Amino acid sequence: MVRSAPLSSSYTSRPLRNPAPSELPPSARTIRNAARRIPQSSRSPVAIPLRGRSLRSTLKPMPDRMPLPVWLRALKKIENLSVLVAFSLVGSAVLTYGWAVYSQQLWGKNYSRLETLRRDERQLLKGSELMKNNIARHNDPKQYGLVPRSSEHIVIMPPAPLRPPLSTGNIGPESKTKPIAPIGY
Amino acid sequence: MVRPYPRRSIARQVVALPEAKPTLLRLRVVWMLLLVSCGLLSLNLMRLQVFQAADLLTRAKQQQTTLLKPFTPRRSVVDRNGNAIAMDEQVYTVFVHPRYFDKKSNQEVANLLAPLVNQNAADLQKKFDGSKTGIKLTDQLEENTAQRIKDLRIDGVDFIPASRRVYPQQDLLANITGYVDLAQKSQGGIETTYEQLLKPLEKSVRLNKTGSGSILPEGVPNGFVHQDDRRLQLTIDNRMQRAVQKIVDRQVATFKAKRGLVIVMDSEDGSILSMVNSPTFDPNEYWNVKDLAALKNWGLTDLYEPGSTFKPINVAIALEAGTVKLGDYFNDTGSITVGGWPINNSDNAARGSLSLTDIMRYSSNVGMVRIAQTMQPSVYYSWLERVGIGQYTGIDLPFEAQGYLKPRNVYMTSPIEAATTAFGQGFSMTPIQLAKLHSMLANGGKMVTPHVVKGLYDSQGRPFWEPKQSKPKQIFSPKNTKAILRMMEAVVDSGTGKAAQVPGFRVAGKTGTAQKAAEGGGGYSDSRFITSFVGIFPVDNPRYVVLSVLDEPQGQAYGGTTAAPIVSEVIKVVAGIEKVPPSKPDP
Repeated sequence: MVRSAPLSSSYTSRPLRNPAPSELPPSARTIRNAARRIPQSSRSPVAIPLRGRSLRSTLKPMPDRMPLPVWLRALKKIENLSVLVAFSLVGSAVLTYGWAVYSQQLWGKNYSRLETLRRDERQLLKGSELMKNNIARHNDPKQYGLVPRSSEHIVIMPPAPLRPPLSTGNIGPESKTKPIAPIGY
Repeated sequence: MVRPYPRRSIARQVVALPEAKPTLLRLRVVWMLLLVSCGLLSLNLMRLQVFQAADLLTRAKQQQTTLLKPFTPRRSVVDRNGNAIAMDEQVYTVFVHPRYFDKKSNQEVANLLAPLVNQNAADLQKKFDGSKTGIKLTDQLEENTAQRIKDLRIDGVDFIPASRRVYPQQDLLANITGYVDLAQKSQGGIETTYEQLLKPLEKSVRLNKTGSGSILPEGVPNGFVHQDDRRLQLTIDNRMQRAVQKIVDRQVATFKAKRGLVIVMDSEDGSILSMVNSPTFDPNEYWNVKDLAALKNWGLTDLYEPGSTFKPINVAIALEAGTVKLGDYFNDTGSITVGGWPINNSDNAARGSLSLTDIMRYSSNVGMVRIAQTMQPSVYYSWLERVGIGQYTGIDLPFEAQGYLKPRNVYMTSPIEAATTAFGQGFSMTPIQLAKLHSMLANGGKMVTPHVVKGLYDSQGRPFWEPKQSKPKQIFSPKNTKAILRMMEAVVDSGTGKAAQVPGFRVAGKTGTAQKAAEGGGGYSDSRFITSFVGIFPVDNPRYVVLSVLDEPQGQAYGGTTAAPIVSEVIKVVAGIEKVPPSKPDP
């Protein structure tokens, strides 16, 4: 926002120095005392001395706020959590979208591959059957030394005589036979 | 001396910038402009959403969706051993639209396409110059060639898919499979009877496309891309069919017959191992058939009088009826008169007292008449009906002709009918019916249904459908059929069927020489015969029935001289393929 202030200086020339305790409003005074009571290593940052100013002038941090009420703290926690959840959801949504697009592409590629394979199978089958027919139709088997199968090519074997069934031996419940176990282990 | 920074601020003249004073008019003008443009936008929206909605919807569908229609072929047919007999392939009809050729000129495209479609480039170019769209380039284009044209990436070439039935065995099994014409309509044979099983299930689904043209597979139903590999398996053996076809073709040419046929049947269950017609046709080019009569399977469609091949059935009927015993003798006087009609033996010889075996051996008509006369006509007629004469065989091929048997009252009143039936004339049947009758003698008296199809199996052999086979009826007793087979064996050993002998195998058979009906009606022709021979082998373990019929052989036209040699050769083939061990004599 641009303030259209006239060029003539209307800044009040306030002195750039630490306000003396007496100049501060009463509430600030108690805060400052409170701030002094709180050890330096806690939340409030360290006073940073500014260059170009007097040694005594340091930039003091703003006085600490009041401790937050419980419900506000809980809400803040929920907000942090929901930020995490939101980011993870967005991430998974992006992943899912990517996977969906990829799987669709994969389906398309594999479907065309399936059609090609089916076509190849048909062609192969047709070719092999036509070749079989051609060979059988136009070739005299005698030129390859082949003769039609006849009873001369059959070997008749009488069936083996019936053998008595093998006795498996008596394995009763009180059998003393031990299973053969390797000794050396 | 350093000039100090002037501390005093110089009071400058205030230059007042011109301020845009907010006026009410300006506000109103802007507001009016915005309102008008909103109104125009909403008008446009209404125009698009309401008035042009349907049109835009169709255009969007056209651009964004595509019909996915995978090629579902008609189920293939295979023989007993898995050799393909009929299969479907994808073909394309190609249309060309020269309007979309764009950068390529008509001549360029014609030169590219001409070698692939076997046409002259100049003719093609003339066609392209003649019309801007809708030029049919070719139809029945094979898949491979279509792919090569597609790879050329010429705009304006349109492929319309279709399917075509291919028969790799050419004319070998045409009479059994029939054919599927170019309009995908089945004509005859297995293609007709099993149309419901063979017909493909056309499935298509409309899918969305992306901007680059790839398909989005949403909405594809489950199992859409899956195609089963079930095929119809026949009982026919390809090798046997091929060998028998050669034999029949040769013998039909030798005897200059009009046509010939052979049927090989397994009497155990009625499955037909081979059914050969000569002449036949190539179902791949069914329009090139020279004689339209070759398109029919005349083993099923044509009736003829069986003649002497019916005699064994007659004897079986008489034995079953109990009026004749195996040791009976009959007087063959050479000629006999029944009801005023004279009946002679074919050679007019009178042989005196003949046993049943001798009657068969010499094919004595008079002996057969005497055997038939032992039965009451009503009993004889009932047996004829029980045996299936005058009815359909129940084979699973179409256009079967029903045999013809004169009605019962005619049999009761005229004794000549029973007499002529005794030696196979006066009634008619199809050759497959005769094979069915003789299969009853071969399998011990059971009536089996001849069939060509084993069932619907997948390539792993798992069955999905098999024809319902009811338990065969016992018609004759096994003792009688065994005796009759021995009589028929005598025909082949020392009777009219000597030409059917096969070394190493015991063959039982019966010759048949029947006069064809004279053209112009009234009686039988003196010069035109149908000769046949039916053989059953091996006699020690009877299983296979081989029937051979020749229509109008020239010269010495007897069953024993024309049809019996065919059966002898066919039996050699069957014994080899079926691995029949050499026959053993009776103990």
